[in-house]
Amino acid sequence: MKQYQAEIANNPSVEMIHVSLDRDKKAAEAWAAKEGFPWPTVMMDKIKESGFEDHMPSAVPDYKLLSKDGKVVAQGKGKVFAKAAELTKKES
Amino acid sequence: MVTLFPSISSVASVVMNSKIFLVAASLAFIGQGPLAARTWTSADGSKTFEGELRALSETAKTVTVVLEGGKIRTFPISLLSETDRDFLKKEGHKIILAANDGEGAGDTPQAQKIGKNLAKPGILSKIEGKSFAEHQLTESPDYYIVYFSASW
Repeated sequence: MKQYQAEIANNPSVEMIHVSLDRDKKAAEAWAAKEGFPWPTVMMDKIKESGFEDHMPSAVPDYKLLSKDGKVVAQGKGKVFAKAAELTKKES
Repeated sequence: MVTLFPSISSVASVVMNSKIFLVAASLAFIGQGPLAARTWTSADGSKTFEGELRALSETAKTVTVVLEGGKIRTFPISLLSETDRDFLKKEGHKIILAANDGEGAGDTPQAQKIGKNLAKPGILSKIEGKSFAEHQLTESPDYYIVYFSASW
């Protein structure tokens, strides 16, 4: 959460999207409310429509950095945040 | 002409979830031109309102309209007049596509492979208090960090 607030929240070039793999919407909701998730979420039953079905990870939690064209730029929390910072720096 | 936004919006808010509606300032990119602007009429013909067509979901059978002032309303197509329903059936998608091909289309989520899916009504939600509320993607970033996780 701290890293998101510091590096992403005010970065117009990057949007963070949470994909919830909870089948129980109430459980997902309770968790998100407890943690105060500031990012938008795609619920389990919307994954196919969201277009993220092809990007499902083999384990969670996992992070992927996708370009707006849908290409995977980086995977794994460390690499994703580092690459996002690098790309943002280049653009600024 | 009588404008009755509250009536339409009150129905929509019951049916959909009123908390999806975002501040007008964040919607400046929606200037998709006069083609999308229209006077809409309620199913019983008693009410009209001005708004620009923003999105159409055949799956959810809903239409999303940007009202004067920038507020977004998503509501069932069935609330609209037969004329409006015919218009959406025949012209809706064409107008949305034409609007996105126009000036500034590169700045809309709909112009992106990722954004166009996320911008569909009902795809995103965001926690508001203790509950999820429908969320509308308004930004068009170059990159998306996708965070896969679960509460367990």
